[in-house]
Amino acid sequence: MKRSTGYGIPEQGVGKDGPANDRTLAERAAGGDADARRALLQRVLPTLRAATIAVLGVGADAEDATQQAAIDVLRGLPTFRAEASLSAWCRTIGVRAALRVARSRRPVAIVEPDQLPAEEGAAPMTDSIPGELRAHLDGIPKLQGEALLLRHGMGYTVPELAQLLETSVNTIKSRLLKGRKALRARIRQQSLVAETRRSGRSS
Amino acid sequence: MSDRDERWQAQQDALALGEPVELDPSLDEREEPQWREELDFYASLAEHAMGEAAPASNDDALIEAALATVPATAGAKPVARLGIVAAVVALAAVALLWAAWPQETLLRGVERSWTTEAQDVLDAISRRLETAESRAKSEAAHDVVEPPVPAEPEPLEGAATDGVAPSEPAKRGPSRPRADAATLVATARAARGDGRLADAERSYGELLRRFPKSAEARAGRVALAQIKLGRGKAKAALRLFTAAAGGGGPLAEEAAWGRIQALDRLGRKDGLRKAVETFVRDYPTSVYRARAQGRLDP
Repeated sequence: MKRSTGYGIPEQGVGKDGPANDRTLAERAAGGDADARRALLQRVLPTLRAATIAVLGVGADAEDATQQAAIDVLRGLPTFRAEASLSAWCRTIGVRAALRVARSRRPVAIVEPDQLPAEEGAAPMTDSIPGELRAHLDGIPKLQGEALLLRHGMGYTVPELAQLLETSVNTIKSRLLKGRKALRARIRQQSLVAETRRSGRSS
Repeated sequence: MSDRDERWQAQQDALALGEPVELDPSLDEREEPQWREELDFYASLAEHAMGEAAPASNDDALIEAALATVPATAGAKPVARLGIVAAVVALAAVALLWAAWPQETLLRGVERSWTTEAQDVLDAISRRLETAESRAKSEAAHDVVEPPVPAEPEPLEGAATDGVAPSEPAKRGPSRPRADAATLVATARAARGDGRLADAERSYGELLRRFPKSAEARAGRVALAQIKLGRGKAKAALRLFTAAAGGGGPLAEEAAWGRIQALDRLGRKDGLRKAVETFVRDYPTSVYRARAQGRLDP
């Protein structure tokens, strides 16, 4: 579970041609080179989309957040620093955009994976988080679920999370601890339900 | 709490915080059989959350919309923009001086004698003056700073949706092939980047009329509103921003901020106050928040 975290996230997708090329591309794009701007977005879009889907799940909200993140990338290019990897920088932008959408959307009822209706027409994207994990994250208070996802799923450190979520380190720790307890209670409850069902069938 | 319970709790807290955990085999997991599932949960989360998304069918449209929303010139530093403006003004002044100088020479010549030669010179200077004025106007139109245009020709209330003039001609030959949405966006973006705002306005208007449901139109509506606002057409901009904000989507925040600017420009204080309050409620962490609140009277 322990690994390099936060802005030092190992590069995936972005940076396949090397960090130096990423830096050059970002500099050209920041300078207004139209081809470089388009190439940069093509390169970072999978990273942005993965980050927004991880936070929001598959759907229109994630697409909206991805669109906003692409805009934020273009706007933020002048502030991109070469010492950070383009991948980690873009992932953070994607997470920020997704969190903004998550804050603004209406709360929805929690639906367990096995209660979902059959989809009409295949969704164009698939959720990177398996349904059972997603159900657990959605089944605990939103802020705590976010903290667990960003800490354990995406590798941000507690101080980085405090900065990302614009709150204190202690608040983040509190959310993580409460999230862990809520998660545990949920797992325990599910185990009990499963045990009860098994008992009912066998008796 | 017993020592054993404390050790168990410390282990679980470290686990939740993502701190290094040395699993203690002396802690009997049979008392908390679910903790293994917790470990599996975190491990699985780490395995899946960092994946890469596969390309989607709407990637190109999404990229074009983002490029249209953030023109390449938007990143230019204010100092650089001021430099461009100063250069344009200086050039226009030089052109006018150059044109005016021989006119005085001519007038002196006319006073001396009304000759045919002097009349020819007068004609030549008149032509030169017209050229210089035309050039100065053209260069002034390239100025990226908001021009003070107090009066605006507004379409009739409710006459056209989105404030787009219904019969605005595309100014193209009838035999020319019709451009698709992406081409219109590219044309508008290039014009906007070059400072040809009237051309950009025309292309975005055409985009909204012909492809109102397209992904490009969502971004185009906000871009057109921004241009209209910059050209002093606050009322038309307000209509576009309102339509864009109501449609939701990724640019709803930009549209809401644009509404505030337009309402402020129009002096509609009541509407402005409501818009700012709504904005602050909907986008509490927006980068525009302080500027929006600053539009309200203390």
